Amino acid sequence: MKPIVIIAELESGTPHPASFEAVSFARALARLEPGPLRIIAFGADVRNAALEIAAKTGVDVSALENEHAAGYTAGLWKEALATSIAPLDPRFVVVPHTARGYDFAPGLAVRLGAGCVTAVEALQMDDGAIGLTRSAFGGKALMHIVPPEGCTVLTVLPGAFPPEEAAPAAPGAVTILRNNARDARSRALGRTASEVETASLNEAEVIVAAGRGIGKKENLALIRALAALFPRSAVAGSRAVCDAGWLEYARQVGVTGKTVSPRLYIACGISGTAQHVAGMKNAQTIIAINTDPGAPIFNIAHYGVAEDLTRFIPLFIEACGKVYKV
Amino acid sequence: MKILVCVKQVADSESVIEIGPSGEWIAEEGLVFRMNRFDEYAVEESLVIRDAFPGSTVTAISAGPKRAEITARRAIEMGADRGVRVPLETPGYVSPMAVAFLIAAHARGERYDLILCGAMAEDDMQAQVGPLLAEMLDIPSATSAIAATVSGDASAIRVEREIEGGARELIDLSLPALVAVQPGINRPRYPSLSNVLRAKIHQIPTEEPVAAAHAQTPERLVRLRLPERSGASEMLSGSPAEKAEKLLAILSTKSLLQGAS
Ligand SMILES: Cc1cc2nc3c(=O)[nH]c(=O)nc-3n(C[C@H](O)[C@H](O)[C@H](O)COP(=O)(O)OP(=O)(O)OC[C@H]3O[C@@H](n4cnc5c(N)ncnc54)[C@H](O)[C@@H]3O)c2cc1C
Ligand SMILES: Nc1ncnc2c1ncn2[C@@H]1O[C@H](COP(=O)(O)O)[C@@H](O)[C@H]1O
Repeated sequence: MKPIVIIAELESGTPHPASFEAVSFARALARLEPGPLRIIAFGADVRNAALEIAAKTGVDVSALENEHAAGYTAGLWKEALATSIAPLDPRFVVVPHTARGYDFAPGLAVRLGAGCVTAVEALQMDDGAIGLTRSAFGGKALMHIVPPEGCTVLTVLPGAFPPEEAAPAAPGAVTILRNNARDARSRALGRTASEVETASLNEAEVIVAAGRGIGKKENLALIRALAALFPRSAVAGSRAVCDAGWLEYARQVGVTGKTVSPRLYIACGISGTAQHVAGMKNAQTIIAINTDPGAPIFNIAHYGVAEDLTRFIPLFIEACGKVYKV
Repeated sequence: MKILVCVKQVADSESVIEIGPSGEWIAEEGLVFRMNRFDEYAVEESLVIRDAFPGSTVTAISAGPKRAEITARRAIEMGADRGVRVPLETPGYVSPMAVAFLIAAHARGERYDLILCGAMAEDDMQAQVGPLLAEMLDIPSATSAIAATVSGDASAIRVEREIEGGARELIDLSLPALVAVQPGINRPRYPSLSNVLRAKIHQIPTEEPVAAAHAQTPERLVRLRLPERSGASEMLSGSPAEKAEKLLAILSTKSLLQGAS
């Protein structure tokens, strides 16, 4: 039985929540194709994080300590991880699909002579083999992929495999190893935090969000008029709308924007890709307005309206006016 | 500087996606094909860098069937100097490993200083070809680039990577390097008339097919399916006006419209 190796992600010395989701995923894999689990944590200061991960999961952790790993570069991570993983001859290497994970995982696969499948969101058996489910075509379709024989590096979509609740019977063993990897060709120069101004989106009870489907900037007026029907409301947008310069980035919802959980989220002309949905799926009620009945946003919306928003929003405002005299 | 930009041809995402008869890919008849939107930003970035370093050239490469020439040509319409197609006739899903292998075979002989890719392809959404290619060519790389600046002596590129929650991390890569760009890094230009005319007469050479001599068999796509609706979702029916009335009733019951007056 070949092992399943999980690469933990640490954030300023503490485990990133996605690390625990990667462990859940690895356990689900092991139920389909048994193999012992082992976690590898890499960083400048990994000791405490490794102890915490071992205690919470009960899985053995190898903590690789490297003074150069205070800042992230793909080159350093690939070098350190490839040399420590290769001797373990794993069946799978599980990596969280985070900005770091998807940056180094493919190159790590090349170094290990392994296959690579990213953003895995579900598992099942397909014709007697492990099948990995992942989104394609902007979430309009799902792929079932069978990994190759040998080793495969997998990245796991955050949110798809909730971390286990139950505490393990005993903590895993922690081994601290010094690691001497260097990356002479890239240099990490530090981080900058995101711009502030999150208050209006965080506090809003109702968020009306615009997507590329609004067609042109002028149609934001419709979105604003819709938002104006609700007290404590705010206007937000998808990445596509912010990239087009129609809304400021502070109003972008999704993995690289804000995570919101209002009482009501109205997605207007938003297709519903995983990167957007990650930021709004916890809204209590989700309404989607989209011309395409096959748009993936309808899979997560509580109420779907398959209509042209430029036609539907005025009708809806009119209907409200009749009742509430807007 | 010698710059390579990777452009993929994909089916337009606004099209209605149906599963083809094989069950392994979408039905492609009648679909409109165009440049992967993420790659338009890579093309724009390559042009901005080229124009800052006189004497630089931009080559656009697309691996795909004959029709992929149109996408390489689109890059020329935007301003790229030349286009190349790598023949990849296999219909349906192609492993990013195989695509990266083919592009690497072209790039090895050409000694590019900088290779640019999009963040991901809209169809397979693997976000792999860039980082795979970098490793195959043994050059440093960074993905999710939301800003990139080449040093004055063209020896390095400073990349601002966009990470979770809108934060950024800064990385210097020595050239040659590969950068996968994130939408928002620039505003892709529209083709100018002169470039459109130039692209019309431009020959898009087809690379010699290379045997995809892989160390191992890649992953296999065994099935493509449409996602299920979650049990909790309800599509409103009726005329647009009836849907508006229904939605109003739902919001009122949930007292979400309360207080609006
Ligand atoms: C690393 C990475 C991070 C990302 N982070 C984010 C993020 O944080 N947030 C985010 O949003 N995206 C993010 N993205 C981008 C994401 O993948 C999508 O490209 C983006 O969310 C699409 O935006 P959209 O839904 O507005 O546009 P599209 O996908 O183009 O969808 C437009 C929709 O509008 C519909 N439509 C068209 N006309 C009308 C009409 N008249 N009326 C009604 N509907 C209409 C169409 O049917 C379509 O469904 C990220 C991508 C990557 C690679
Ligand atoms: N067939 C292809 N031809 C040229 N470039 C490609 C091809 N496939 C992928 N790419 C490049 O690699 C990026 C990531 O693609 P993917 O790994 O398929 O998500 C794309 O944005 C393109 O820049």
